[in-house]
Amino acid sequence: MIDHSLATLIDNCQAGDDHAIGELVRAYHPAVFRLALSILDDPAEAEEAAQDVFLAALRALGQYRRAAAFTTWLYAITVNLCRGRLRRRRARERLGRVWAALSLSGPPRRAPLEDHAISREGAAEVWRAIAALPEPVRLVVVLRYYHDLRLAEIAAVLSVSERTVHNRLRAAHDRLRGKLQPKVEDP
Amino acid sequence: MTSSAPFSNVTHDEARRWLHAGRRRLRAAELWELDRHLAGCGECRAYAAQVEWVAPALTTAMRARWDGAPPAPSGPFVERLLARAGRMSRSSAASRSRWSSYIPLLPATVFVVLAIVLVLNLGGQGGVLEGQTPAPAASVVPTLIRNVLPAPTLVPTAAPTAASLLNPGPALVAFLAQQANGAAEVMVMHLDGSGLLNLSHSPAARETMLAWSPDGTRLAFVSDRTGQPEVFSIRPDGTDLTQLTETAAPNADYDYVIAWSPDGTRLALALLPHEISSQWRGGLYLMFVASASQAVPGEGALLLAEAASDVRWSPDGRYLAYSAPDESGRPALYAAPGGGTPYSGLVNWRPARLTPETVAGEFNVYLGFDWSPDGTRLAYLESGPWQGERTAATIAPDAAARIVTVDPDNAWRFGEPRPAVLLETQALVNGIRGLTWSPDGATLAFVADEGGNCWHVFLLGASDTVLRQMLTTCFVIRTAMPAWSGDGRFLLFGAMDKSIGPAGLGLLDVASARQGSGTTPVVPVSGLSFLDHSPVVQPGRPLAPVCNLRHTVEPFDTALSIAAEYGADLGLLGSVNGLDENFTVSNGRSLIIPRACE
Repeated sequence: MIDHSLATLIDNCQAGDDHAIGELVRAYHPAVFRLALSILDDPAEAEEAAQDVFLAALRALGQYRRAAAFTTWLYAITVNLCRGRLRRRRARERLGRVWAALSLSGPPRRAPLEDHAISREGAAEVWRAIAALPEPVRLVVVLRYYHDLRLAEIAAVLSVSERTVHNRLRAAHDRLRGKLQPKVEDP
Repeated sequence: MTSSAPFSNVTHDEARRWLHAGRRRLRAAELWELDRHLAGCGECRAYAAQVEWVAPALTTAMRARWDGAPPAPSGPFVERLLARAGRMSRSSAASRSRWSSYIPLLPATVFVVLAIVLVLNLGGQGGVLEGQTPAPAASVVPTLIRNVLPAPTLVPTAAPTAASLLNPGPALVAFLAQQANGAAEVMVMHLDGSGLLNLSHSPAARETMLAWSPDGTRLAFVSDRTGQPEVFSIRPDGTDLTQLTETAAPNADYDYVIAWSPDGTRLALALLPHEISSQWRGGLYLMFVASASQAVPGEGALLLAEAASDVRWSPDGRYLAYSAPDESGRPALYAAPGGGTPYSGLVNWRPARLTPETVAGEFNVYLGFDWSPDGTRLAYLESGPWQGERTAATIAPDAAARIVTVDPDNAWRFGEPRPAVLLETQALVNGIRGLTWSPDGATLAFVADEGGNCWHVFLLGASDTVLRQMLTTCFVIRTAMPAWSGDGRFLLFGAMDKSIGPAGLGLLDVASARQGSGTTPVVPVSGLSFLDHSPVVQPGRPLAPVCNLRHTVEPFDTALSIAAEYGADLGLLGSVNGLDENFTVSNGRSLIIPRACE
């Protein structure tokens, strides 16, 4: 259920009120950007994705079921669009590797976020373990432990069952155990 | 590893799911179950250690990576977005005419695009393409209802018979009587002593807390016959015993307070732990029933509030009032909508505080509350201020007992309870309780200890605030709240008094006492040993008055001779006085002689 002020804001956005659209975007832009960044790991691309998210959301506002939480709906759009970008990125990288093999010019270098952004060596190591997780598992870890969503919310955002969320978290912990256990057991 | 551990009702998988959800997201009962499971399962304990060590490390690492990258300022972002939205709408209109000349080339174009898409997605996991209309989540769990507990769950009950509704007869009184073996049993009887029936028949179990359904066809009570306190309901003829709750808190020491909604469709349950701990705080629950005796299939109980010690529905069913600790742990009273239909009205569960905040280091205690019959006001009994910690508090020198009325509807809608103090007295501060509103709304009754363990019944005018003491005879009150008869003529309570017997039920004729002067005698209703809970009068039926007499057993008296002397029924004489099967009476005992009023 959404509160009255949000419902009014959405109605005005649907009516094409630029002021209302501005207000809605300003309210949710930080959260959408942060979610996009945590999936894409690239601030510039996250900013582009956030634009795509709001354009898509404004077009699809009529489909928004108001019994659902608005943020959950917006997050679902964000995840869908960002996953599409990830797939395109992987395809580009594959083509890049093919091109590099042909031209011997080396693979395209992408360093969206430098590792020195992580201040501590331990955090960098943990990040590498997270990055090595398969995408579906990593998404659940990001939504649970970075965005602090509930299991039910994660299930709703990803359009999977809570059981699947639970299984992926379990898979994540099983995979991370081998890589992080020696570190986390250190006093 | 899916089977349940022998030490817990929780499966290993369930325990892991709770660990994934995070401890701070769990309810008290779940935390309690989880810790109980972990205590007995080494493998799950190791997994818990892993999760609880790794989770903060994951959060820290991701924050270190991403929190330093702020989003672009929203202003330019919004401008760019609006510009892009404008361009898109213009270009989509223009493109329709621009591209129309290329329609003959469409099949070839589609083939080329498909080929490119295929190449770009080679090795991908399939699924959504960028630009595709995003699909909102298939199902979103509503967050409006704070919690849906798997327990307590509702067990369907049978419908009442038409005959019982058409021929109600005089009202029954339900009470908890102590048997010769010390066990408490749920009993019902008519005021004249007839129809005495033991409903619970559970000598080894402890029964507490009684509540009639609004139509009077069922009696709810709490019993630990299954090993822990649960709510049951039964017909007043002793048939169709039904367990209504299944509480997921084995071995916890707690009790339930029961409140039926006036339309009989909902039960509010205050689960009250005897010792509040960080893991086990109890709560206020709501269960839906289609009628006073029929369950809504598949509905569980809703957790409305994390703690509550008493609950009472407004007579119009609009609000629930309950007592609970506030954010700082000090006692307070709250009101919140009880819901018109299942779930509606609960979407904005925002309890309104009815009682005032106190200064730091002080608190008041609330000794009872009751709704006015028209539901517009709530009266409560307040004692204080008290100072210090709750467990070792001392009463302040200027403390008083107060009877205050508030407007819960106004408190909920506008945040203003509009309190009115009807009574403030330092004389009664040490013992005042059992506040109850008369059915006509004109009078508030309560009981108070004036010292020396001498309790009296008081009546307070709700509008004229005239205080009347109804009893001058000293007696020990044994009931939390006197019960009014439906017509407001009588007050029924449990007491210990020489005029009643060692302990029993007494009836006070309020209507005649109001007109007369001097002391008002208590009519002994039953000499059955009475426990410290309120008797409850079956709703919707007249409470036939009684004019019982008293007889002191003399040498050579027998029960049979006494019954013959007064023209009383021997069986009734035995049941009212709790005589054994041989009707043994001892010399000097004061017996109640059941007698209808002439």
